[in-house]
Amino acid sequence: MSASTGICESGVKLDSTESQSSKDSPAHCAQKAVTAGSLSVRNLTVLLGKNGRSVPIVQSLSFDIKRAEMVALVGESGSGKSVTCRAIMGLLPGYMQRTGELFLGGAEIPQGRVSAQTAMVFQDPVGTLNPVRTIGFHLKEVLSLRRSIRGALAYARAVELLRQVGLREPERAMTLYPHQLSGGMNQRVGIALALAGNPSLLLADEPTSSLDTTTQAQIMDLLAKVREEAGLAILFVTHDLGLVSQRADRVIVMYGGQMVESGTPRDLFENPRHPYTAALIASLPRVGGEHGQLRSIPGKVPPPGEGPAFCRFADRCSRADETCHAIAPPWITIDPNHLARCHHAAR
Amino acid sequence: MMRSKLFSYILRKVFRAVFTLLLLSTLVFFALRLSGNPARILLSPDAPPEMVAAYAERYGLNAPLAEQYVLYLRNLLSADFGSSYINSKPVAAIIIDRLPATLELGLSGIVLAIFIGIPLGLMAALDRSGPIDKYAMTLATLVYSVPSFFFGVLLMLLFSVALRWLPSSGSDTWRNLILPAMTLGIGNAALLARFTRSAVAEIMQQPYILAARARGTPRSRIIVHYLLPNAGIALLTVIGLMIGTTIVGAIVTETVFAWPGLGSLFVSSVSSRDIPVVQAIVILSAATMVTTNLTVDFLYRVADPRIRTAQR
Ligand SMILES: Nc1ncnc2c1ncn2[C@@H]1O[C@H](COP(=O)(O)OP(=O)(O)OP(=O)(O)O)[C@@H](O)[C@H]1O
Ligand code: SF4
Ligand SMILES: [Mg+2]
Repeated sequence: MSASTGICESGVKLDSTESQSSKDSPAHCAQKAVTAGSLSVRNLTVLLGKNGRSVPIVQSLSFDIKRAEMVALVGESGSGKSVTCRAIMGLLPGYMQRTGELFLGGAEIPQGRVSAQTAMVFQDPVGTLNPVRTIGFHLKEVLSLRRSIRGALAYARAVELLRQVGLREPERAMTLYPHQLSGGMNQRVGIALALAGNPSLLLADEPTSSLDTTTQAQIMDLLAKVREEAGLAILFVTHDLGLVSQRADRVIVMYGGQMVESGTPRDLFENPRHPYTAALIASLPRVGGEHGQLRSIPGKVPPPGEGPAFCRFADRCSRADETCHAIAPPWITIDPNHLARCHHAAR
Repeated sequence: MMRSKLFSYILRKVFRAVFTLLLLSTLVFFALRLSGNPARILLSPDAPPEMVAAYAERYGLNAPLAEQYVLYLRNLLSADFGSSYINSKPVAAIIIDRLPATLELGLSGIVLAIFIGIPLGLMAALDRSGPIDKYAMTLATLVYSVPSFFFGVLLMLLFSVALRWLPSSGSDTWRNLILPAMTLGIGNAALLARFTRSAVAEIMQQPYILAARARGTPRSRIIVHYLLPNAGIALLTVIGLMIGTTIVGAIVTETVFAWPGLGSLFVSSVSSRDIPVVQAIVILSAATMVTTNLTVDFLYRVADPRIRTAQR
């Protein structure tokens, strides 16, 4: 796997208090990295509430995902991971608004349009399929819509896709309804549906959270396989830092709608620089540890528009001081691939 | 194996339906006879005792209640509802005579309810807090909370008395049907509109709708293949309930508009203590409800693959 770059190709300036945008994310990235990756996210912000008061749900995210790269997006519940996915997909509800730029393969994804190059896999595998239509219906529909393949050709292609994602009797599966398959099998169907449109980007929003561990590993293997085969860029959302440690090329940690740290799994596990990342890692159940007890971080992610304004983590952080409550933390470059946004990240 | 399971399921359902009807018929029988000797109530209080005795003799009212009950059940089983206390005609003939008018009215009401209620609810749900959602749904809530006879009277005052557009009673022409059908249908339309709106709103929140949109499925296709079939399954029960209660609903409407159906027959039979007719109508409307319930149940198996295939 190619070594992944961080948020930005050339690292981040440390004198990042000069302007709002450089405070939130490295501004010079916007000019530079457009064609570098398959997906480029620049200053992605999602506002809730259209007129009058609007509060940011997601704030100034900037990152790249290259071809055949899997980037994990982690963070506690409510940190804005799903909203980020929906914003990239172009599927925000009407009362949410996005600003910032999204580029896919160098071309800008326009506001409010579902990107045909992007596919999504969801958390609830059975619930994301129409309960009164067969698996075959779903596959043939997307083949017709995205690829203009119809009739016998569509049938053959659908069967092939099902085989590709590991369904043993694809012809039979075509005639079945979602509830007749297990969660894991439905998730394979979900992945087949995503692949059917030949996307260049796959957004997987907790695709394994509702599955048992064995199935979870199988789905992860499948995602790794399709990433290699199709050269897909994958944004993989999860609560579970442990799950991504072996699978992802790079990890983005999100908290309260903001990116707080980004780096390889190794960077993060061996040298977490943001206290939130450190807390997430500390809360992981340890193999052979004290009975795998999950120590959770006290407190909760502040809802949009509430909580500390500068460092969003300040009210839960053990290292917080006056600076943290008064000045927005800058991005600190630990190494070109490893960035953290904390006043005390440099130690 | 599969077939026998389905068969036993159907048998169980039918058996339960028959049992319900039997229970109801029994209740009706005793309830109607609790108020005393029908012969005495039927005739004027100062009727000579010989006349009361002759009446009781003629309609078998002297036998012990248990014996009457057994006879009643046996007759019911052979679809013999006895004959009217008032004019001695067979009850079955009286009902068959009145049934078409009620069917005509009831069906018109249901068709009206479906064609107004469902599109309205659908449009309201698809354009949340749009004009239809705001005004039509408020109106539906209002309509639903007003008793149907009030509507009947209101419609009559407006279209018959004030505007003189439509006749207020009788059943000679199709124009006579309009007001009673509207009276009967409007409450159900309001009910259906509200139910459709919430069912559709709930379905639009389902993950499979979002997933379909993510796959680029156009809105029209989402409505036809994702929304409507799922909403239809949810609506089946309500429509079944509406059909099941049509005869009961017709009672008030038919009386207001002097519509010559079972409803007005029921009202006049109650006031004249014509017990065989009253009990036949009650049993018939109960049978309608039980039958529509049964039908809805079977339609579910046809429409919803989750139930259909679970049976296997
Ligand atoms: N439709 C919505 N309307 C209003 N607020 C919303 C909506 N969807 C999400 N939010 C808010 O935005 C924030 C981020 O939500 P999001 O669903 O993106 O979190 P998440 O990181 O995906 O959490 P989880 O791990 O539970 O899926 C939360 O505070 C949530 O309450
Ligand atoms: S900036 Fe301060 S409050 Fe925020 S994470 Fe760093 S130390 Fe904690
Ligand atoms: Mg989520």
